Amino acid sequence: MEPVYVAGVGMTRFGVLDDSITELAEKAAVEAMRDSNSIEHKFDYVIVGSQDPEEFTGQGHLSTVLADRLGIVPAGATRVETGPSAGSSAFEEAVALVGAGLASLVLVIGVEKMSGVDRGAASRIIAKMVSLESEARYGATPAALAALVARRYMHDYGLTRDDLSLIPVKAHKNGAKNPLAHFQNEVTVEKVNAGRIVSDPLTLYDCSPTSDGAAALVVASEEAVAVLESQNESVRVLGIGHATDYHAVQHRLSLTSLRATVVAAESAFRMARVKPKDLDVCELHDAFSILELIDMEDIGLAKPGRAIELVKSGTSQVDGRIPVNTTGGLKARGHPTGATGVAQIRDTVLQLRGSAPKGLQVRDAEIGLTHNIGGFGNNMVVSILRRR
Amino acid sequence: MHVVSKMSISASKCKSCDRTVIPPRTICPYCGPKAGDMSQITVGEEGTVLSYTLSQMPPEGFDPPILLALVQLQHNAVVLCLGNPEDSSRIQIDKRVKVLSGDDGRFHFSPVEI
Ligand SMILES: [Zn+2]
Repeated sequence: MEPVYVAGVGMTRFGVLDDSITELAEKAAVEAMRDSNSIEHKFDYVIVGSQDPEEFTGQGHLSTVLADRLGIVPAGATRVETGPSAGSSAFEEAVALVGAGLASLVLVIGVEKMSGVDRGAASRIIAKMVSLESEARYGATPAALAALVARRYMHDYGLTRDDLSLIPVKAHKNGAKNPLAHFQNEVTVEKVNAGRIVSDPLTLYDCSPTSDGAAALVVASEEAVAVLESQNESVRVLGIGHATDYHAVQHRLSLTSLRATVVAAESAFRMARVKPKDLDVCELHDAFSILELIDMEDIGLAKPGRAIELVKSGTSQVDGRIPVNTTGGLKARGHPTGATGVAQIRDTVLQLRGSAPKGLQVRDAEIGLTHNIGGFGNNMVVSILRRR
Repeated sequence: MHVVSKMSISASKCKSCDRTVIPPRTICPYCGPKAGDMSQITVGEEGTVLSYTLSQMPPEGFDPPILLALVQLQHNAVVLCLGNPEDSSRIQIDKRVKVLSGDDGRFHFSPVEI
């Protein structure tokens, strides 16, 4: 593969916002173009990651619409959908196009506008990710499936409710310092424990919110980076992996490990020629608190059942040895599904540039990893980035 | 809800990897078409709870709370089942339960008294 770089990044605030889906996408995209000095250059493609703009907003044909609204016609325009990992999958397409020499400058936009429908409708749209035959017909939601996983994990490894609550506490602690986060308030273990039960043992604070928001990246070849004179700000794409698991949880080979993460991470590490111990910062898909622990184990940061030790010792805090979700994760940064994967890469790029928000910068971060889930525990994309 | 008691549950077993899946299929999800068509079998109604949850916020169309359990049946086939929320205090991981196919086309479980 030819060298591929992320030359520019942009992101809107995440939360419940007034902007339309196209306005959100435009704001993030223009910021990424300015950030990479590419505003006067010709884009070969725009790749848009969005889970379900038709149902959430009624907006169809999103990639073509955005090429037009951004004034980058005749760039090729494609929308990618892999559920909530759509943003990372859009990034993967851009990396593949540039890495294969088919393009030199590609705009990636991840966007979701979820607040335009009421909560019941939003959960009905989101619940389409789970198996219709074996899960949705039973009233199972992603949260209920996460609860089944959490209860089994607690049973097998002795994880307590207080232990699990440390995950949202850390997420909110970091989110409170992230000016773009959906939630910028700290919470306590007591508050998490006393939260409204969604599906026991999980409370409201174990679950990421539905949010509006967009993030964008400019993906560029070595030559394009030189033309843009954005060498100093560019981050190299070292590796990327993508894997699925069996759709219904009942057909998976483990309840306490997500095989798709293991496979995607192994591919990404192999391609990047680095190991889990080489990572300086990670963005992991904590749609539910229990997943942050399982993700840490599945990408190789801890043995099965042991991730909580890294949380308790502060190892996964911003100033720890392997910081996880420094900008609040899905829990506090928010989770506009199609935007999440792009936001993870954007936040990791800022970490590797040394320009993360005040109080969130990891010291001397050189290698970062992002992990994005695209279903309940399915369709994972893992990316590894390195400072130049 | 009327639960029609059927003594057996339809499943498919792979001739190559020996894994059993419910509901029945033709192609083994673990092996793909190279393993040939799966054998259509039935499995017994008794099983073991792998995990469970009482969901307080199910989607539109369900009256909360709903009790859900993943139950491991014969040949290690696993199914998600609905239970009676009033039984939730009697359900634990590893508890023996009976799974029946309801006339609503879904699986329902109830605790087995020992
Ligand atoms: Zn098989």
